Amino acid sequence: MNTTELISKHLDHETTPAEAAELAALLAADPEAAQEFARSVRTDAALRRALAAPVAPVLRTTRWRWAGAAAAAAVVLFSTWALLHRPVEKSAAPVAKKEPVRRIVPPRLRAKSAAQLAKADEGRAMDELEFRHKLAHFFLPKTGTGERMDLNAAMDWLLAQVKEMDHDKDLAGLDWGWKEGDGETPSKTAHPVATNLSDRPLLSALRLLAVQVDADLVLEPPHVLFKPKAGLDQSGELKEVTLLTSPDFLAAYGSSTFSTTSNGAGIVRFVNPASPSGGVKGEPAQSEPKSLYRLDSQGMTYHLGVTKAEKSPGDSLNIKADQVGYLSDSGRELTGNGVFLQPPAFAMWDPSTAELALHATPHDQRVAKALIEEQSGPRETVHIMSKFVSIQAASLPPEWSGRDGWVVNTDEEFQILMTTMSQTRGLNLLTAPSVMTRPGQLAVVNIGQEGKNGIFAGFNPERQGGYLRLRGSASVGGDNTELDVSLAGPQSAVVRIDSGQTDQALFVLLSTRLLSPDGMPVEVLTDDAKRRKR
Amino acid sequence: MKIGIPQSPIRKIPCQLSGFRVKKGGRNLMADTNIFLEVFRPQESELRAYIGAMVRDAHAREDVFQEVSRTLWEKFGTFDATRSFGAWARGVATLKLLEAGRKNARFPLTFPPETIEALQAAFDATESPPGGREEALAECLKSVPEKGRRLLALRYEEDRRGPEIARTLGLSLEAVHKSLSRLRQQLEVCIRRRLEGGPSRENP
Repeated sequence: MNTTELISKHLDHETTPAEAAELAALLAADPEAAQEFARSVRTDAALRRALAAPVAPVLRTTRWRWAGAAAAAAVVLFSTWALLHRPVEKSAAPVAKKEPVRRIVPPRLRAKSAAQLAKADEGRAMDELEFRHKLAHFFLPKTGTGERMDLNAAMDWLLAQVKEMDHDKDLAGLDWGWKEGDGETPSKTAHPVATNLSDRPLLSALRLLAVQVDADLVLEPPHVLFKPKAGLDQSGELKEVTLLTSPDFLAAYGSSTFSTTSNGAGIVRFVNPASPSGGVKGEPAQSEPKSLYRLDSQGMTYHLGVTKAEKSPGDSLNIKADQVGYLSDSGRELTGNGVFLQPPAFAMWDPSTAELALHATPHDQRVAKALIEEQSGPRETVHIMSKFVSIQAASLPPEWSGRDGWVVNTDEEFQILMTTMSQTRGLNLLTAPSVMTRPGQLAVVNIGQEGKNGIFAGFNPERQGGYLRLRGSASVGGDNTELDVSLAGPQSAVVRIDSGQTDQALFVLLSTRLLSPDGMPVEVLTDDAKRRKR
Repeated sequence: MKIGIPQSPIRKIPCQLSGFRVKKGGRNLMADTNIFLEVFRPQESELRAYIGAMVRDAHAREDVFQEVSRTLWEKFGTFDATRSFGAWARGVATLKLLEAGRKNARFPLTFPPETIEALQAAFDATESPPGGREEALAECLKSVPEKGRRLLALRYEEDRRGPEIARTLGLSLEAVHKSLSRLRQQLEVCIRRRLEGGPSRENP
């Protein structure tokens, strides 16, 4: 096969591993081949742009969404105008109606549907899509008990929950079974399973259960079937792997840098799990500065990634650890979702890097990967809606004077605020762009022209505990303000973004919505709010 | 009228945008931003293609692109305007890719580091001025014969894989690969000729 054909196969993702290795070596050694590759990549990308069918743009998450922001601004501008000019009821009853839930068909699903519609003989596949869509939109507060049980018991529990909550009979007749696959159908208790996902779609729990029994999930409406896979590594050998998780994978458990001293008084005990002899009271392996230690202290068990350990006078041991994982918590979270870590297997999650270090069997590693995928934050989308208003400083309402910003707790309060604004002399709604992004990714809004009235704002949303935290900056005519706003549930925020030096005060009103990968709103609630809701 | 809670979790600190230089002498940040957009936008698809060639997984690819874009934006103050923005962007992307590969051995890089570095040099050496490529391709596509267009449509419009195309067209898989390879090469030659100023004499 010549170079051109090899490159072409690579572009079509159809090289064998041997061909891929051959191509890599060729490109590294031959500048002309590398240049041909570069030109081919450009042509391929241009062809893709020129010929590929457009997909629904709604959920295409992109950071540089200037054009979208401008278009959204026009829509929101009109709706805000309409809101400001509608009559206000004097009763204390809630003024606003809740915004209807927007159902957004995910682009991938829509693209697939379009392709399948073209094939008249694949009507059954449409049913499957619809079924998948329903499973992906059916949210359960809890998808399991977290208890270890066999698959039969777990599915019975799950289906009972579904039956109880399926008021619209969307999933009537839902049942499950095994489907003949490459692998052997497990016996009833071959693989104990557990799911303990909260606020996740049913499809997510089913996928997680399937991976726990080493099966693919097959949807044949109204049945979900587990199709055993063959060729998976079933050895019990413990292997180390580091998995990248979302920043909030175990955020609820927090972390801290840990520094302590063992004085042999029995309060803290260091055991190096890597050492079969039971390690090391006061004697960590100096040659392994990154070795993991277990710390039992006051009833809690921690894992420490020790970077520095030295003996100090008096035979005490100073431990400086820069990674601290709470084994009891991360272990519980993982175990509750089917990663059954038996010592000396362990897990350690480092919130500073969002990495999960696993010393576990291949099976447990597969389940952990699936769990990370199911709980992965970046697959969610954040919809940030903003309104930029300017007010003559002399006309500022008393509540707005001298304040950097404040949180508006409910939709009703927000409507009252809007009414107040509409009655404020000299107030201008400049623009109201909205922008889509993902947790951990910057979203930028660029409004207006360069100069005094130009506004440029960047928001970096992040799920933190019960809040969606927006950090970023706003620049008004080159005058910059750093923003740090935490919002939960239906809250909105008003932030002053100008310097206060001109006769015009500039404010941005911010509200956010977190959307699941399927476009469904996901509630972000503080613990208090969750309790109140219960 | 009470419209908010007094203990607001909002923190406001007047400062420069993080990592974004505002030059002394009163240069406007907005102006910098607009300049950035002016040079970034024409290179965006090129940058995506470059990263796409190096990363197998679509999600990881998008993440790297976002990360590179953010870095370019933040470091734009250090960009030497006499150099090619595309080359600078690819340099940043290469560093991010190699860093991702170093940090995570499972990161789905397509090539080993030495190949990535060689490819960066190759992309730089074959860079053409932004713009015009799409128009040139549109013109070149007009002269693709019907059979070739069908093949391109199956591959790019319908996003079908080689075996499926082979079944649809009743060809061998090898024939599909060879035909696609030939078509791409001919289109590339045609585009290059058009970009270099002369009309394409070649019939792709």
